[in-house]
Amino acid sequence: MYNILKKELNGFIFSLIGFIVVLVFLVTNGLFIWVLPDMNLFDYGFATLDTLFNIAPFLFLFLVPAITMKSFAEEKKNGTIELLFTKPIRDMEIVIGKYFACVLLVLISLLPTLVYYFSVYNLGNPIGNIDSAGFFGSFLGLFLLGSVFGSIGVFCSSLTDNQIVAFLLSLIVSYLFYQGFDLLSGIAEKGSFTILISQFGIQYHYQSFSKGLVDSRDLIYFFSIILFFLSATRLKLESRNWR
Amino acid sequence: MYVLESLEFTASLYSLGKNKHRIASVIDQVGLGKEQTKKIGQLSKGYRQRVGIAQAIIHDPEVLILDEPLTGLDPNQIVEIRTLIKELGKNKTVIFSTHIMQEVQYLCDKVVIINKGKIVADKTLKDLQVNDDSTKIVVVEFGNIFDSGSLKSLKGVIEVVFQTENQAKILYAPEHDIRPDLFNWAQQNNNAILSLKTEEESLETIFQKLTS
Repeated sequence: MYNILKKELNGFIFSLIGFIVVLVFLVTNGLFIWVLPDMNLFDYGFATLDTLFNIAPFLFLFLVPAITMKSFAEEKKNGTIELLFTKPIRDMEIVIGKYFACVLLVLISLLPTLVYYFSVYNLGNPIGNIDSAGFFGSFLGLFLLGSVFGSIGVFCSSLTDNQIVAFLLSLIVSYLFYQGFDLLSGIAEKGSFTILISQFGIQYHYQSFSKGLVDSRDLIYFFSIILFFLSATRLKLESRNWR
Repeated sequence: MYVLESLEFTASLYSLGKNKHRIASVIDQVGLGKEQTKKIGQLSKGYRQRVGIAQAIIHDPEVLILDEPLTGLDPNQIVEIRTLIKELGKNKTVIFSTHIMQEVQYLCDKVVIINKGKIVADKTLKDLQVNDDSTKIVVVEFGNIFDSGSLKSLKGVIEVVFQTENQAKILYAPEHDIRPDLFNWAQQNNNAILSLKTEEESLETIFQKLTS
């Protein structure tokens, strides 16, 4: 597993994908939070990083599929997946190795935003006037959201040998999970299923985190979605042996 | 991915990751010394083939299965890879598939021919060539035009096929060598033999026979 993880990370670094993803993520966030008029923190006047947590999911929606789209699709296209299959490692190790490489990249792109926290912490009046629990809750939520997108991306990548198809597919599925269910629940506003449907979506749980509340139900939701897609990926890889 | 990197990765999958010595010796064995710092995508087909072989032998397996290792290579590369396979075959069992019969002749001890999923021959190379010779062939060029009727009456001759008016392909039963008889016959008929050569059945024809 570690050797797969290491190989994938090397791939991110040498192909510059890793740098570009982190760069795009930070530059866009930085622009929205600090620079662009009307939207930036100084004009807004409140010591909060809500902008970050509202924009970052949409950035991840595009960046995470971009990271994961090549994980299996490229190997399938090049035929190198056969090499991995013939080696003495389990399918799940391949999946988890590739998945963790993506999660690690999400984490790396998130870590520098801690600087934003300290900036706002010190810019507050009085100093430290920031909802720390809200920030760290959202931070965890954002990380889990990226991880869920990652698992969706890895799964979609295993379905096809075309990277563009993999990208678009994971974009759609990720969006369905991020906002789709929430929007769907809005159709039957007064129905009894409204909450149930919206609970299927990430938005519902993500918002719960942003209140600074780390609820085990939300954690279980994120972890079960991740586990579901990783198992589905393994199943897809295993299907080569089905007759 | 770089050659060295990919070999280190493969080695690590076999828990040989820290064994730099093994990696270096494999690189040396397949002749990738100069190319080890290049990207695999930049290599020619022959060198890519070597990377593949290097990955396959890094954990020193007893059996090596190669699927058409020599297709798509230029003549020099074919010779190099062929030597490499021969080298590996000294202390390993190498199973390889090919449709180039010269390679079989050069590399193999035992041949299995498969036609439409069925094994139609499973013999050593020698047996395959000998056993299938139900008739032997000799091509003879005579000095003068000759009459095939009296040639046919020679012991063991099965058929005489004219190639030109003074050259013929003679098929004969393998139990009796007719070549001395041919000389005598030529002498008796005031003819001369300008050339005489036995024609061995090539693996190609054997292959064609078995699979048609």
